[in-house]
Amino acid sequence: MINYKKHQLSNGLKVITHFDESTPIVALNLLYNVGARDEHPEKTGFAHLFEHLMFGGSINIPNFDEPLQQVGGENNAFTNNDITNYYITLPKENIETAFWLESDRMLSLAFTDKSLEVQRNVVIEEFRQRYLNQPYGDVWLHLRPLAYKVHPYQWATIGKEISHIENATMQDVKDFFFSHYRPNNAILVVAGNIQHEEVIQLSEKWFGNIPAGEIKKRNLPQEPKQTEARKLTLERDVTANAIYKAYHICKRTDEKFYIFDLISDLLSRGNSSRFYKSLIKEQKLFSEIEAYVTGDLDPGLFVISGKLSDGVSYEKAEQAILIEIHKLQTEIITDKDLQKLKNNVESHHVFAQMSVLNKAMALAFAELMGDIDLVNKEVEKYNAITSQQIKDIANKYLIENNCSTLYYKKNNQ
Amino acid sequence: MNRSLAPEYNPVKKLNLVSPQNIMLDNGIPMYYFNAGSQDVLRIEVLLKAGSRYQSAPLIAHVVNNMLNEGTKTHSALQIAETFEYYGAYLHTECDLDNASVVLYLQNKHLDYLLPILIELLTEAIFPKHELEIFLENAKQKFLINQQKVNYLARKHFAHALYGESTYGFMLKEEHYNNVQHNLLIDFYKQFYCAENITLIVSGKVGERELKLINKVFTVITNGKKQKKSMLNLPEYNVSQNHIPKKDAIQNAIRIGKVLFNKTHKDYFDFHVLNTILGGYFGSRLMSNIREDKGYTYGIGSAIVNLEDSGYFFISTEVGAEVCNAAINEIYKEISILNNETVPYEELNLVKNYLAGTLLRSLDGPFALAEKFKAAHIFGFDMNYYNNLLKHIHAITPERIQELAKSYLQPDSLTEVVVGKV
Repeated sequence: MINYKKHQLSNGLKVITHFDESTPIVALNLLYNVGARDEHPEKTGFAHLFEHLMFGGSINIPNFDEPLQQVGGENNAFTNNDITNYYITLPKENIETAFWLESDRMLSLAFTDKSLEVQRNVVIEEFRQRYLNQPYGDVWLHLRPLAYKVHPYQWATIGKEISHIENATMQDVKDFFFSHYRPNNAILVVAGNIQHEEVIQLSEKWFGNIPAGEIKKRNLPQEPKQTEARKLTLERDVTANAIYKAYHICKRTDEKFYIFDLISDLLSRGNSSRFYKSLIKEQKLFSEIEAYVTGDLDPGLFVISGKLSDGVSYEKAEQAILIEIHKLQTEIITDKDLQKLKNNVESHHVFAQMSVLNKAMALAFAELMGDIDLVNKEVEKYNAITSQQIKDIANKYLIENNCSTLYYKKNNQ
Repeated sequence: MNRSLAPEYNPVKKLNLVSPQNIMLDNGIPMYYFNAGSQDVLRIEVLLKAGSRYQSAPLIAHVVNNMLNEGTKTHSALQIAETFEYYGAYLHTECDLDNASVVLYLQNKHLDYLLPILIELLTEAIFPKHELEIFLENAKQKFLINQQKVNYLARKHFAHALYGESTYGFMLKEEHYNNVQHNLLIDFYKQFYCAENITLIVSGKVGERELKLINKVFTVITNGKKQKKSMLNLPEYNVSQNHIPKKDAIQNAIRIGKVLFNKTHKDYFDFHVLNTILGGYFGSRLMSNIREDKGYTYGIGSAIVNLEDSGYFFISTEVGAEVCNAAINEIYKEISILNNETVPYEELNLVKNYLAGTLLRSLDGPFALAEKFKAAHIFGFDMNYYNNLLKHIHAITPERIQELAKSYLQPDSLTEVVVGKV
């Protein structure tokens, strides 16, 4: 059970607290409801570039990191297609420093040319390091536009191409900031050995006078139903053939999400999972293979990705995956297997609650999903799943006409 | 309200350190445990003196450790996985140059069902030949994929440049995966997976019931022969420059460093502070210059690696191939500055506070305590090691930092590895 209390400031900032007296550390998590899906198609990678700029100094504080390090704190951030999330952990005595820093960069950034120029370069190097200079690094740059023809999920958080980052201007930066980084578009969570009242008082003091902004209602083009199988082959200088299959599924907030998630566990979680047992061990077709859900707020993907064992043909490998899917569609999973999956969910939930930072992030995301109590109710949702539901969902969604398949082939150099 | 003024703060001056309880099981296995935390969960670590320094042929220690759960006298790999996974437990094995370890994460309520299986892995593993074949084939494929990564190659070539053909510098090759002999696995397992070689580190909710059960079950592990550990025969350190070409590289991986010492050395604590200033945190000189000023890289850092018979220092980064030389020049420039100038008081003060906070954060929660204890215990220390570390952090002066840089970071004492377009 994660305990929590909620409050909203008059400028719209939501403040959530979680009390845990067992730790000397406090976590402060600030989630902005903006991600790569909110970008203009010709200015992609912007939400993420912006995340970098948030460390380049704010209106009253020239450097974000130094004062935090000065008080023994640590921080980081991540951007995905839906959200941009900033987090700090620090000794609880020094919590006010976190409020001071986070509120000032919500008030306004310094917007220096130097920061923009340097962070453009840093992000370009990140693009090269993580997406271009790694074996299989560019998979998602190709799989996304194959799966999404209309919805902004068709580009990766890093952006479609380096030129979009190169061309970012200061005006773009300012527009982005004032249309998204406003208190009424954010959720603040503070977790640790600190009382709710103290957090509210600090929030009023530091965030209270930041004006609300006008947040445009999100109106994204929704992906039309896919009606035929899509396939793409890439040839690259890699040492093993790989296959990726992406099926359209529901939103993260849909009740069906939990079923898809459980199916992905059934297929590939642990050494007793179906893929591991059959495709890796018995048939020796793959050296590794996994299934997972993307968990996006707009309809996401159910993904299967595997590396083929040496000498195995694509036909044989893919056929074996399809047979496993066919089993999901025609056979009923045993009670014992279903119970195993549910026990794992419970266990995962217990272990995930061991750090205040994890709990703070979970609370912020649940609030964004529209029901903060999901942090405590989700285990129940998994527990209620029946084997018939698994079969029905597999029949409806895990079909070739709903699937984009990417063959990532080794070239013959 | 003046937003340009920082709020008051308190530096971390003291750690509320918890020491583990120490008992000896009936068969002589030492056990350290932290009864802490609010959740009904346990982390049971079986720490073994069974790293690759003890093996008779390449990969043996690693394969034994990784394949403990691939079959025992009475249970198949699948049955073992079924049991762990049915109870929502996680088994984690790891093997480095000096030690091996088997860690089980579980909820207390399942302890009775899971402990016997854990013991079975430690006493009755058989490394079935068909499983071995699959394991090696898949491990080889992963190895070949890693060989395509500049960062991985730089790490391997750097260790080799420092330690040559000794265990610490040994470079695996593809053919090693084709030549793992089953009888060597069995020999290694018999010799090193025995009571004398085990230390147990348990953390979480460790009550009377858990202690009794652990003692009872672990007692079946029999005594083998106490292994005599001898110091490795390491080559003398020689400075070298190594350029490893990798065609089509978009970025080059750079590693610069040298053989130094491990945490048993008298200068270790102080060097830890020096390392932090240079490349040990986000605001470090290397990050500030090479990422935040020049934009040459997504990240750059430095660290000290602790080995039981040695230790080394390294700087590592991946940079655009076209700015590789410029980045290397900047790295040396930063090292020279540390040699020639004292660190400003404000910067040192910031690093002290940052390190103290980091230490506090790293000791948060029962599992973290266990891991910190292990890191000290391997080198013969107890939890008080961290109090000493904090004392040194607060006591160090700018002059001392410069003195250390002059003794240990002369630019011409450093070995260089660059992988990519060279």
